Amino acid sequence: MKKIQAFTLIELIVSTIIIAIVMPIVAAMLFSIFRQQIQVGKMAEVKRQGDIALSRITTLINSNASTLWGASEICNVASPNATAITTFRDAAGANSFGLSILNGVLLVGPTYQASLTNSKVTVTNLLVQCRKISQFTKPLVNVSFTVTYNAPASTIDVNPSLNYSTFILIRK
Amino acid sequence: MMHDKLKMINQKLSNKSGGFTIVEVLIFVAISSIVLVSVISLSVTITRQTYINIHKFYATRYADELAEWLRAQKELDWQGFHNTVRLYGTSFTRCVNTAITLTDSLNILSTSPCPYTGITTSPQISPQIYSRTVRFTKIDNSQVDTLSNSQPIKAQIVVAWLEIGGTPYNVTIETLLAPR
Repeated sequence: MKKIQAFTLIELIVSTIIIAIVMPIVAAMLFSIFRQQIQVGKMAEVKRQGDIALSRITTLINSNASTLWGASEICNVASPNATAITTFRDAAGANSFGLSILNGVLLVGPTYQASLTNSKVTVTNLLVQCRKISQFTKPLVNVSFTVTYNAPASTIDVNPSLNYSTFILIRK
Repeated sequence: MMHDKLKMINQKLSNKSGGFTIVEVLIFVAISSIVLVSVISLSVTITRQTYINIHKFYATRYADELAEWLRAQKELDWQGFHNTVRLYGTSFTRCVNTAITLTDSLNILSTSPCPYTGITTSPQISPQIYSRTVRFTKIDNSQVDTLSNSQPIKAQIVVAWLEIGGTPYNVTIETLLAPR
């Protein structure tokens, strides 16, 4: 009679148990690494969009703004107010451009027609303030906003978020 | 006779145990432990590096924010800015762990030590592990006491933080502040 070379049932059960113990550990490790990498990717997107928006706002203010208007001129010596709707005016006193948020997208322009961010992120807490240190100094503008990654709420990960705040001295 | 001989050979073959030798087992254990240790250490390194990367995003923003504010302050009033810096000799470090608002003046540059308590911003979204300092250095020391000093001042902004285990990391930017 020829002896058949094979694994016994016991050997198979033991190896299956070992695999069953090791596999979840390996899978959990891989999962947590992938999850963190995704978080870094989201954070990079938030930073990229926030930086681009901030640099465009700075350029616009430096080249086109002379003062900031709400109901009246906001740039004065009094402590800055938190008016939601503000418009930058140029040296001639004409409306130049404004900043606004629509559905989480940061908008800019005379009629808020240009988007500074895309739908991957949500912008909140937009605040445009202006102040003069004294009557004869140039106005100092503060633009601040929060950029948050736009993804369905997850129980595991918080969507990455960054506060942006910049200070620009209007020279015109 | 012939039959018995065959039977004996057969018995001899089937009695030969088919297990691993001790050398084989040792080699297997050695190889698998090397692989396992390297895989685990690699995943620990990746995890740690990921946290450092995320923290660096916040730190860079804080450093940029202070640099932009300092630039606006010196453009607003160079003489006042210079005089404040001039009061403290040729080089000094100040702590700015608070969030900067529009009403803040150079008085927020704190002389107290800079703990890793985080930059207080609203809304609170970053981990509270940062310390933000700025070090001013005058480029030309020969003009230290001249009020009408037009020499630029170097500002070195350091946002430092501690990772788990107490390893310090920092993001450093330098900006040259000169009269316009």
